[in-house]
Amino acid sequence: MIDTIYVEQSVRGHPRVRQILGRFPAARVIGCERYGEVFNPKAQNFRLQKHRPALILAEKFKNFVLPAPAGYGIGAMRNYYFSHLLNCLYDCRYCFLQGMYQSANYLLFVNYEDFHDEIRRLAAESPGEQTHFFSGYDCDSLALEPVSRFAESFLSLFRDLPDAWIELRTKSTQIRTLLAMQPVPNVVVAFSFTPEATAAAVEDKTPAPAKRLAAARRLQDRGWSVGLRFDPVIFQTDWQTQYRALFEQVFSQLEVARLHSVSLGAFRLPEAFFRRMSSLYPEERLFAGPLDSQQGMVSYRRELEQALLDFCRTEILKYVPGEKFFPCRT
Amino acid sequence: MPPSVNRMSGCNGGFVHFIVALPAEAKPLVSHYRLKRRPGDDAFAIFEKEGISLTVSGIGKAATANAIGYTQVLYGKRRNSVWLNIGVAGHHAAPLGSAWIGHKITDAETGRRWYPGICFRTHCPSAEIRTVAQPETEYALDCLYDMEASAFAESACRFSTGELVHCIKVISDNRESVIWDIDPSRVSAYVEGAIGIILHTKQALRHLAAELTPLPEVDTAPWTARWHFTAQQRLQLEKLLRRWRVSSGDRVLPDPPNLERSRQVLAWLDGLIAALPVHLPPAP
Repeated sequence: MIDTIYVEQSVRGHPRVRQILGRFPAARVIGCERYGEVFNPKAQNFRLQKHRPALILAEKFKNFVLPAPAGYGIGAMRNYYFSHLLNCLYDCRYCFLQGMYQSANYLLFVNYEDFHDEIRRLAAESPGEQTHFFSGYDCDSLALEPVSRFAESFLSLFRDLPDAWIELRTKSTQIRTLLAMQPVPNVVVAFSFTPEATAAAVEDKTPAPAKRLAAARRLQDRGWSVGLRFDPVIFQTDWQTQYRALFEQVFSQLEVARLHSVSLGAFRLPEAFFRRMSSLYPEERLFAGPLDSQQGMVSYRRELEQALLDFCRTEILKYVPGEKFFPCRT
Repeated sequence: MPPSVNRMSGCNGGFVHFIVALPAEAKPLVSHYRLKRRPGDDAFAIFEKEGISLTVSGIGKAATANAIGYTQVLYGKRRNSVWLNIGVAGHHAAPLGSAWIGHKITDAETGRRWYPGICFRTHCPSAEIRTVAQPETEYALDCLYDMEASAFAESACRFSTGELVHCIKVISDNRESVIWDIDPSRVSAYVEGAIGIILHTKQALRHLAAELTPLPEVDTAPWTARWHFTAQQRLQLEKLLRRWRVSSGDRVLPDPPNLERSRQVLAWLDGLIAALPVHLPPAP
């Protein structure tokens, strides 16, 4: 899976680095001074690197946890996100990471304890008030779990911070770590879904939605809080039939009363990201669709976007009470 | 006849440029690929055939950088061609004749580093290459020593993406067999011995480069001949024609109706595209 690993000089002796290198005895291991030497140069191509992404093991020094964008949330007033990992195992054509980074290599910050400290500090700022931390903003929270052991490390932290909640956002079925531990009540495992035909078209390398659903069901059966994320909503001819079928399938297989939250989001990208993505994949039909650019953001044309969101909202609310529904307002 | 969408761009994403320092390194490649010497008065010895060029740069960083710039301009300033630096190098212990691909290139003089992205299955081991100004005889570090790779990486990455820019080095000297013993025939023999690896690398990179071949440009000429478009409208027209091509699966456009103004033409095209069914095909 990973045949090249770059290791920053400063973390060569880090126990997490040694453990990861031990998993890939055949990988070429290349030393570097700072990850930016590998991750940031201009002469790189995200599309080509997606063929064989390398893993970069590095140390983060600041900005461990950042305020979440306005409108991003599932019920709390205080919302933060953090990125222990940049980039994703999967290859979703709509994903903004393709437009944000020069490199498709996985950049893993191994100093988890520094993230822990910052999360503890922020949670302690307002005792008794819920603070939500989102971990799947720049990556899939669980897809690389066998390598990163991220959930294993962070969920023990959250077990001791009852007012702090963490969302693990994923399309993965890597739930072994979670199944092996007692459910942590303030953890939401949030699975992203698009209709089967859309997933087959634009979510390359991901588990099929039916498999994600089975994983969500298993977690729910074991007592974990599960969330559902219909984000982004993607347009195709027949979209109503496809989304109606998806909602029927998902809500018939999960116990709705025990769902933590359901959110819905539009397909939206900063214009500069969109330009970069469509030049990486000029043949991509998704990018030739009925899109419009308004105030620096590319999205479906206003009336179409409204129709998509209205329809999905109406359908979702047939199954889910309003207090569990969180349309994304970014 | 409706105006057409396509026009041949003349761009070939899979062009391969070999850069070698010595005629003895060039010889096996020229022979294997049956390259022909370019006639005329070039600044470097250049051999070629369709889709491949080989430039003999001479020894050292300056010669290499110049050769790459010359080659890039000579072959039409193509973006995202494959660039391969083939040559001999020293190592403290690696066996003579063994071939290596560079995964990190360090300029010993400046300390600058490059990390060529290896996005394909290699047929040889990889190593750091340190580029030095004078032949290395101490082999103090666990790396390959050469005299061109850093200039090669720096210059070629101006014209192509790093994943398509690679160095393959064949060991010509080590602590057991010093650099002063090398003669041209041995250099040729070492490179000859690595032909299989070079061939595989070239093929793999060409395959990757093909992914970056731009779509043919859209042809706006028949449209601009019939209607007057402002500069802004021309951009809109190009964008719409590209969208039509991708969304329709490259179908021929129907005849435009009798429209007077360019604004109406753009609206007609936009409506035509909006009426197309949107089916996202399964990922290959």
